[in-house]
Amino acid sequence: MKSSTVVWLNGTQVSLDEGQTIASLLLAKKINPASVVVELNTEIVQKETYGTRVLKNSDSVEVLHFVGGG
Amino acid sequence: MDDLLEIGGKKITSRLITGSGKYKDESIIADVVAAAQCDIVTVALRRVDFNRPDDSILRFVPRDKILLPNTSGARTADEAIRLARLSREMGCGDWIKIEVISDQKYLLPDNIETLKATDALVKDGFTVLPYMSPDLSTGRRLVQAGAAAVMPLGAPIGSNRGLKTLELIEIMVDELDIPVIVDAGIGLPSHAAHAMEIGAAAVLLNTAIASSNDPVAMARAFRLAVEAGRLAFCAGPGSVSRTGRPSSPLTGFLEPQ
Amino acid sequence: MPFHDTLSRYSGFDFPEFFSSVTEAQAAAVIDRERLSPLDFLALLSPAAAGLLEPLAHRAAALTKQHFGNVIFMFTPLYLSNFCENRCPYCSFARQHAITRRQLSFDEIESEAVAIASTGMRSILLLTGESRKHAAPEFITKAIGIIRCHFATIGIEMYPMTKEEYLVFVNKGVDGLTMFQETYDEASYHGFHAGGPKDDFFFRLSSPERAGECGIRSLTVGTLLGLAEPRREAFFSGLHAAFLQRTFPAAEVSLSMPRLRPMVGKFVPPHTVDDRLFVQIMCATRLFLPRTGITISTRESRAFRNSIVKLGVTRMSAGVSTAVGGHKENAGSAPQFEIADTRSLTEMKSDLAALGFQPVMHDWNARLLSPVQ
Repeated sequence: MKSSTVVWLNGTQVSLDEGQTIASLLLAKKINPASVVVELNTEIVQKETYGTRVLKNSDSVEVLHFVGGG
Repeated sequence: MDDLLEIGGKKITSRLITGSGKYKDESIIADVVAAAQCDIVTVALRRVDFNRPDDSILRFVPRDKILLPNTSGARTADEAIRLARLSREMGCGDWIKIEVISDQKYLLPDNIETLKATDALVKDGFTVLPYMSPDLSTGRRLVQAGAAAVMPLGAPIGSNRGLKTLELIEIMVDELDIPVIVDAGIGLPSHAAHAMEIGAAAVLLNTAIASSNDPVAMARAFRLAVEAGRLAFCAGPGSVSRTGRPSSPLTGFLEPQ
Repeated sequence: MPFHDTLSRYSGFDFPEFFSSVTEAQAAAVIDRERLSPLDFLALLSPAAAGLLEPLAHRAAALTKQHFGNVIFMFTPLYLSNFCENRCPYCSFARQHAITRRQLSFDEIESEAVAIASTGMRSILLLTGESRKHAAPEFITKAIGIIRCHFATIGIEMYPMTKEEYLVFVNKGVDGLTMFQETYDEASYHGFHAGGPKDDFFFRLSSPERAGECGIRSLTVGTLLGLAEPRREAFFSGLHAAFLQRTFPAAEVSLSMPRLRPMVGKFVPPHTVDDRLFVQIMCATRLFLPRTGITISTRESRAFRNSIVKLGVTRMSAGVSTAVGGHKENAGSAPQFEIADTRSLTEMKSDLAALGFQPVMHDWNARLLSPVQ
C-alpha cells in the first residue's frame, strides 16, 4: 500500500499521497495557482516554490483567495 | 479637471471607492464598477472552498482597478498583519485596508489594534489605509505612523445610517494633513454628498449599493453624488446665516464722546 | 516645516489689491461662518469691514463666552533685568537710551516675588532685556528656581534661545513662553533691529517652535501694533497662532496685541492703530481663532480695557510695574513703557466683577504632573 501523508488543509484533515508538492495539490484540487496564496505552517509560500515544496505529515496548509468584501 | 486624489504615490480620479461584498450575484460587480466609475475596489481574503475552486472575486473586478484588500476577520493587530502579508502575496499590489474588529455586535473597529497594525505594516512597505472610529488623537498617531489615509466610520458597518459621527469627521478633516476617507455607514447618495461637502477626500461604501434593488443604478447615483459633493466643496459654499439681531450695543464706547 | 515657510507663501500677496476688492457684503457673510479660512480672516481685517464692528463684536463676544465663559486669567510681569544690547527705538531699554541699568539680585528677586504673591497674584511673567552677559540663561534658571514656590504658573518673555536652553527652563518649572515678533514684515524688522543680536528675524520667529518642541504648556505670540501696516500684522499674528496650535496641539496658544505707548526716546510709530481698528483686529482674531487666548496688557487704559473685556479678552495683567524692582522698591529705574492702566489687582478684581467676569488667579499647577529638577 502506498504510504500517505496526512495534512490539515484549510482546517480539515486530508490524506495525500506521499511526496505531494503544493503544486500537485493545487492541480489535484483544480485550483489555478495564480489566483491563490498559500500558507504552510503559518509561513507564506512563495509561488516559485510551489513545485518544489513537499508536504509532510501534520503540515498545516492554508489556501486563500480574494472574495467579495467591503 | 485637476482635482486628483493622491494616495500612496498614485493619482486617482474617482473619489468613490466601492466594496465587492454582500452581493446576491457577484457577476453584477463588473457593471456596478462601470457605473460607479471607481478606481479602487475593496476585496477580502478567505479560504478557498474546494467545492467551488474558481470562486475568486477577481473574475469580476476589471484588471485596471486598484485592489484594496481588507483584513476583515482579524481581531488583533497580529491577525491583521498576517492577512495583509497574505494579500500582498497575491501579487495585486501592496495596498491594504486595515480592519480590526473584535466587536461582533456593532462591528466597530478597535483603534488601538489598528494603530499597532498600521505601524508594523507601514514599516513593512505597505500602503496602509486604516479603518477606524473617528478620534482625532488616534488619527494623529496614524498619520505619524505613516498611514496613507485615514478612514473614519460614519456609522456602524451595514447600518446605512449616514454620518452619525459628522462632527468628529469634520474635526479630522480640519486637523489632519492626509486624506480622510469616510468608510462605513453611508446609506444614501445624500450621505456621500454630505461627506464630500465637508471636505472628505473620498468615500467608501459597499452595503448601500450591494443591498439596493438595482445596484447598477445605485452605483451611478453614488457616483453623481460624490462628484456633486466634491464640486460643492471646491466651489466654497456661502454662509449659513444665523437668526437673531444683536440686542444692546457693544461698541458704543468707540463713538466720539 | 517652520512657520517661516507659511509666511514666505504670502511674500508676493497683493494686500492692497485684496483690501480694495473685498466688499462689505463679503465681509458680512464671513461673520456667520463656522470655520474661517485665512482669507476670510483677512476680509474681516479689511477696511471694508470697518462698518461692521457691531455685528463683529457680538459674534466675538458670543464665541468668547462659549469657549472661555466669563473668566479672565490674571497675571503680572516681573522685570528681572533691563540690560540690553539691542537698539529698538520703540523701547526704553534700548542700549542707546541713558537709563539706569539694573538687574535684580537673587535676594531682590525673592522679595519682589513675595511682594507680588502677597497681593494674591499666582501667575508670573518674567522679563529681561537681551543681554547674555548680564541676564544669562544661568541667571534666569536660578531666578526661576527662587520664585517658583510662590506662583502656580511661570511664563518668560525674553530674548530668543536655543531648544536646549528652553528645555532647561521647562524642566525648572517654566510653563509658558511669550515671544513678540514685533513685526512680521522682514524689511521693517531689519530697519528697527539692525546692529544688534535681535536682527536675526528667523531665529526669533522660530523661538515658539523650539519651546513647543520642549513640551512647553503655553505659547503666546504677537506683534507690536504700529511698527508696520497693522492689518497685515494682525493677519500674520493670527496665522502664527494657528500654525502653533496645529503644530503643538497640546499647547495653549494665545495672542497678545500691544499697541505702542509713550516711552523714553519719544519714538513716533510709523502707523497708528486707533481704537476702532484695534477693536476690529481683536474681534476678527476671535472669529478666526475661537479657542485662542487673547491677552490685553496695561498698555491700554483702564476705561478701554473695561470696554473691550467682553469682546474676546481672556488674559489681563494687573498690579503692573514695568520697571526693574518696581514692586518692592519704587525703583528709580525707568519703566520699559508708560503704563496706561495702573490698577492694582484688588481694583481690577472689583471692576471685572462689576462687568460680569470672574478673575482667576490660578488655573493650573504646572509642577503637579511634572516634578521639576
